[in-house]
Amino acid sequence: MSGRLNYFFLIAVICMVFLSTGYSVAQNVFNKDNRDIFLAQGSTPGNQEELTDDDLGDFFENDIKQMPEDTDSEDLDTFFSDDDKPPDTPEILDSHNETDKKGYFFKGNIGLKTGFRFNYDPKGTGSTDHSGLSDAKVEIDLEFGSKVFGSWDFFMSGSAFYNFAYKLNNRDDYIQTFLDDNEKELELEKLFVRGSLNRALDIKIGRQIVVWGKSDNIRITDILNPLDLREPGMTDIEDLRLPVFMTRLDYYLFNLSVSAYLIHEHRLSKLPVFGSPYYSLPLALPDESDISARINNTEYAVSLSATFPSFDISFYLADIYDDSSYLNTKNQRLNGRVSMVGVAANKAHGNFLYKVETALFDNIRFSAFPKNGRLVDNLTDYTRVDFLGGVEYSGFQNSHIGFEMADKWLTNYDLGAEAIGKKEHTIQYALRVSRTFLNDVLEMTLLTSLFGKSANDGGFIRTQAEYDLSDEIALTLGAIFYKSGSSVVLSQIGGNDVIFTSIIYSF
Amino acid sequence: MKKIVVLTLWTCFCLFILNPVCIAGEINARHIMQQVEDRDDGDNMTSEMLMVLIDKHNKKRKKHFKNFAKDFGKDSKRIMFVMSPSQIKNTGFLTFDYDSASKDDDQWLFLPALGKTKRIASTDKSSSFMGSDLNYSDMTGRNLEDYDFKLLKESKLNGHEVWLILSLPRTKLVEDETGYKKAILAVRKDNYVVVRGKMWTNKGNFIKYVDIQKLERIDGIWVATQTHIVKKQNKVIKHQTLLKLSNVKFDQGFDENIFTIRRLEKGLF
Repeated sequence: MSGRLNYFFLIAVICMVFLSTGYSVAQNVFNKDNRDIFLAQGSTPGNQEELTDDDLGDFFENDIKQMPEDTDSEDLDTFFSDDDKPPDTPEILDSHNETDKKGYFFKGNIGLKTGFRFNYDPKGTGSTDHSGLSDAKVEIDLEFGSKVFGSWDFFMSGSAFYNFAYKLNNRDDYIQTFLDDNEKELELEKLFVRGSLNRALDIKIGRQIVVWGKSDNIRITDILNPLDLREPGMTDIEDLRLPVFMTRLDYYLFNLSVSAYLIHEHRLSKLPVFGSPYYSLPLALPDESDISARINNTEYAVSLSATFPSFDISFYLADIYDDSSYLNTKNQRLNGRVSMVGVAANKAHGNFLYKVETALFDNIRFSAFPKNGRLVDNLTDYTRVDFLGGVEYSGFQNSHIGFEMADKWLTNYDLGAEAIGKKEHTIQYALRVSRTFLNDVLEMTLLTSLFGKSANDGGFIRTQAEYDLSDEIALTLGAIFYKSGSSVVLSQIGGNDVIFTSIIYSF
Repeated sequence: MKKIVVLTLWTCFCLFILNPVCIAGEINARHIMQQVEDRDDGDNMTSEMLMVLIDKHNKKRKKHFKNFAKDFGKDSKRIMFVMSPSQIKNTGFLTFDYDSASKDDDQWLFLPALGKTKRIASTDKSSSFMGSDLNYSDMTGRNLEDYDFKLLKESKLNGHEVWLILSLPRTKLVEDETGYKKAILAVRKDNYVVVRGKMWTNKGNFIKYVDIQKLERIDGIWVATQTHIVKKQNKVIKHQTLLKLSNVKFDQGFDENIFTIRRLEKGLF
């Protein structure tokens, strides 16, 4: 008997449970008053927040009167408060003009850049005093692009500037070579046509920029374009590379691309000239060799790039003129021809991007050096192996952090190299941190580039804030702090600390 | 008797915990969200997008994009070019969006001012998309297995029956990666389109309201052609974004070569 009672008891309990839960579910699926039960059932670690009436508001309820279950007027008053209503849509969308189909574009910007050198110490009597106003530069950049026919297009860009600072400070205080190089400039930058010869083959002829490598701040394999280094650390990154005239062919096959480059123009980096606050030697150097654009002076380069999921790799070969010149005993400034083989790769993993680059340079020449009381030519062909490792992190909201470290190793380092101040290992660190605020209206950037194993051998720290006043107008305020080092290039750089501003109007 | 009591309690437990009716809310909500995910969103699509960013002082900025998208099985590829403003014109984004949760998306950014294509590594998708009130997680597909869904109620919006569904990330990792700790979504019953959403950010105590203001059927595909996003903090509007899609076309028969770095660097020409 008791067994049968137990049996009935069990059935009764099961039925009650079933009915109660079924009723509860039926009530709750479509009844807001009981939805918390569902939330309690569904709560999981990490998302324990309770849903409140205010969470729904009337944002989801613009047909309140049609809700049969919404009968409690007091509840409705709080639950569907007007606070949650989305604001009316501004009319701005109606004024939007859709894309023009002109087939060309013209854009540019005009700006005023100022700089104030606040920590400068003139090197000696008779030297130019570069302290105070260093830049009051009006600058204009123009770009034009046009579709020519089919897949062919044409592009050109140019820039010009005039720096009023020297006139305001008194031009007579500056050395003419410095003024020639820094007071004004009119420059044709890019000028090229490009198109497809067939489905897999592209050609691009003209003055252009080719960026090799994966690093952003330290150049290892990125050697095809010279740089504007007249004001180290001050030049905007978009103006840093100088276009050169070349013919480029790109062949594409699946995820591979093979590119061949014939470089016809031999353009050298723009370096600080005698009289510049960044120039470190007591005397002016002779002009660099002018390498004529003859066929046998053509530079050659080849690259092979492959793209895989989360991984890119590129291989490079180049036979080019060394951008760093050397002096011989006849006081001629020459540029040797170097060969380079290199590889660059990056690998994305989560929020990290890892980068490696390595390159071997051969036939590097150095300046004449003093030996036994007289100057002798250095006839050694030096070999250098460069290595870079870097990592970027993008896991912080609206932020980006990148760190790179490079070692440039002269493998056959000798007394000749040592005598002119070269080091067997040149170690460089670069750190870039940037973050945007106010929905990309404000961007703060910190860039540090330091040399030496302990980062104490010269370099700079640049920090800036760029604020978009509107779509067209951007304001920048920043400062750059230099630190002198033992190398010839960096020995006098300290003291050039600058506060800079710019206002740019883009059109 | 003891056995009976134990059996009874066990049965009760099973009924409460495992009874399919008990978890009907979850099943229904997940089913609805699966329908949302499986809804035909078209293929070989091209469109133009105007993005208007409005700050709390009502100052407006505009960005204009050209988009191309194509499905490759369950994966999709997209390429997008900035047409304005002038400062960033011709900047391009290339994205390979993989369906597999174990495979990170591939993303490249082309910066015309530098002439450089740069790979972007970011599992974290909580950062703002081009300064808008949407973040990158809003622009990519979601893995439903990363969320718990609850059907809250039914309602009507603009004369259409909707389900209101609560979406909760299952792990802190998902919460951090997407930037949202909670969302309520209004899904239209007749076409499984999410027409309104309210999202709680996991940082800054912001609430984002997403309102699809224009929903059009283009070539048989439902497309949100006008969207208004409002970001509030303590019930005060901090920022707004308006998105307008135009020239939306499907089945354009794109060549696979469009979704390559080669095209990214060439731009729209």
